[in-house]
Amino acid sequence: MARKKKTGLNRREAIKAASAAALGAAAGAGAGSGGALGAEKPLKVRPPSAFSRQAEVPGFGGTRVAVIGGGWSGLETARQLKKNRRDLDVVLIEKRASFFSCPLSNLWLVDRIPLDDLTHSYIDAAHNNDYTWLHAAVVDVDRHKRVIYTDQGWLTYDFLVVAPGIDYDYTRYGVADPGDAARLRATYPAAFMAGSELLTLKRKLEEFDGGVFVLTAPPGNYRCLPAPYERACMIAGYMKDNDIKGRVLLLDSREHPPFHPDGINEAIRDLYRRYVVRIGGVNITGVDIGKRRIETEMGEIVFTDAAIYPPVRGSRVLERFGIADMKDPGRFADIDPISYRVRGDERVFVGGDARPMPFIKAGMAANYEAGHIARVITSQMEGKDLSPLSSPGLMCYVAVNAKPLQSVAFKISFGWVYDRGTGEKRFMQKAQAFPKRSRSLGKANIQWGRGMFQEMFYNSL
Amino acid sequence: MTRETDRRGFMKLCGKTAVAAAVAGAAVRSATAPAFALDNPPRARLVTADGKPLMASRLPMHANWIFHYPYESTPVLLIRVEDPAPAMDVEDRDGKAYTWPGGVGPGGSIVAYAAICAHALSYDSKETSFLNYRRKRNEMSGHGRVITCCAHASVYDPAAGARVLAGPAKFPLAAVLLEHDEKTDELFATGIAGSELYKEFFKAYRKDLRKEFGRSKYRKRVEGDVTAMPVSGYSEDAIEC
Repeated sequence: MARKKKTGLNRREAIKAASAAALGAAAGAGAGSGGALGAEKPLKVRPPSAFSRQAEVPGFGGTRVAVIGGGWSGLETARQLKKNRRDLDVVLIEKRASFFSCPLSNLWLVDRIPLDDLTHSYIDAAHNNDYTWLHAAVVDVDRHKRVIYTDQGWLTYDFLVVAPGIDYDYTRYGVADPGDAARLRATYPAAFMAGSELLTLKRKLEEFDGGVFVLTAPPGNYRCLPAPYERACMIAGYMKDNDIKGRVLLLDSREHPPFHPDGINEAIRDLYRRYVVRIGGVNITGVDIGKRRIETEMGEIVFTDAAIYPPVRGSRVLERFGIADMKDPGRFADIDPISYRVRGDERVFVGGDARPMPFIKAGMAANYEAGHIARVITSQMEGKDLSPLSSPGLMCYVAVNAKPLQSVAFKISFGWVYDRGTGEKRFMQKAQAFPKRSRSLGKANIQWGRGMFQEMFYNSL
Repeated sequence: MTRETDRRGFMKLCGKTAVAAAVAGAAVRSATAPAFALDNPPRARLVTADGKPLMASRLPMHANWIFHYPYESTPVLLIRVEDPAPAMDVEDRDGKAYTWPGGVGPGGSIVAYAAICAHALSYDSKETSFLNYRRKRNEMSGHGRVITCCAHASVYDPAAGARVLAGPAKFPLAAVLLEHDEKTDELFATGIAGSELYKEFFKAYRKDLRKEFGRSKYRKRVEGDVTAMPVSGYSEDAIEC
């Protein structure tokens, strides 16, 4: 009781004192509470008890393939593994309570599709595709003993697929201090990792009363290349629709977008000329969160609100598991790019956006690649070799008009080709643009996602 | 009380409410019945919107028509290709070969396939038709005279059992078997060959199908005549891609 009262007062007093004798009083309050805690006996560090027990998964004695990460890559890998071999014991480990899709989320942002389209149940995915979902966060992997440690206990594996996705790298935006990076991420989330970041962005948009809304397109092979442009169009559409006197300022690190931009540029010109301003070749060197200011090599930019998308890197768990390429500034997975196998470990594979290969980081690519990885693994079990990945033309839609929904499209294929000149395999990515925006492509855009969700969660074809 | 008496007691109880129990039983049976029994397919005559029989010789060249078979809600593309489409062997979803019997009618050029994509179940509805046959070269697929699903750009060859030409689909669209009565020039749908996906289709779109076709009518098998019409007349948006 007394303690509770004390903390309550502490805060109120701090604010009061701050107005009287600003800094000194505030610092004093902080030190006071820290001192109270410090006086207690220090706790003895002990490994959490979760480590000492086995995770509750209905193992049935078959070869176990564990998949860490239930995004577009992990979900499809688990499904395809079971399709290839029904006798496999496939365990998908995902820490989130439900799936939240990043693909299609820009359409939901401006209410073109309901949230139901984006969120799905891991219970359904596991049930309909006959694998196990372990609702747990992975803490560590012992690759020597083939044990995965999670907050729900440990489990062993015969093969392991790691599909953890990306993390943000704020240091390359000049925000080196981890505390500042965390604050920036909490204040102006990029919203390219689905879930709370997207929910926050939607709320920000709905609360936006006018001014400059900044979006950034970072350097490097970031997740979903046209998405910042799609988002600019959707937010502009929202402003136009709701008569908000605002502007989307899109700061692109590149002089020219990393894709064929005609259809998107045309839409911006025709529909959102007064709402979208793009500046190319912007090198961001710092962000002042309090002053809402982005520092660039060209000067400072002041904004009202923002979704600041920093460069991406491989998920930090790769380092934890000892499978990140530490020579790569992006710290992506250290795998053989043809077999997807971790170098020096025949039983561990990495798929999805954590891969180091130069092709697009997008749901549809991860989805197709996952089928290939599943085949690599089952072929390896059977002692067979598999030819390297080569995708058919896969559709990628970009919404450019919010109302009525109109999209443009790209057909992208990627994979390894034989190079006659060198006699070696060479990576290739081809994209064909369909720049004429239409309502048909807008409908196809939505159906594209619904079909994929059908596949991953409900109907295994 | 033994298990036997338990059961007898239960039977007695049932006897008292016989009618109710029978009704409940029927409801349970129909709810758990298999989605589709291929062994007894309906035989349906194709008619035009005015109720008159569709004459095979009147079906225009490169027709992109639609009818529903074997269920009230399951769309089928009816196509007339330019050249005779001879029978051929194709592989189903499990890699098993089956014989597609080829086109029927004038010059063996009329074919029909389920308009439910074998990749991710996109289909042709009143609102939007994602699968269409077009003579002209599709921008998205780069092929002409093919069925394209515009959601993920899977391309099927209608003159060859709907085998996959491009895109992410891995097996052909289910073929709808047709019969042509040479005397009357009438067309009949008589069955399905290949990988039918009705169970998956109903699971995926039950909510939408109920709304469009009626609470239970959507999974009622067709009887007698079924109406065939151009997709452009059936769908608000026959998507081109």
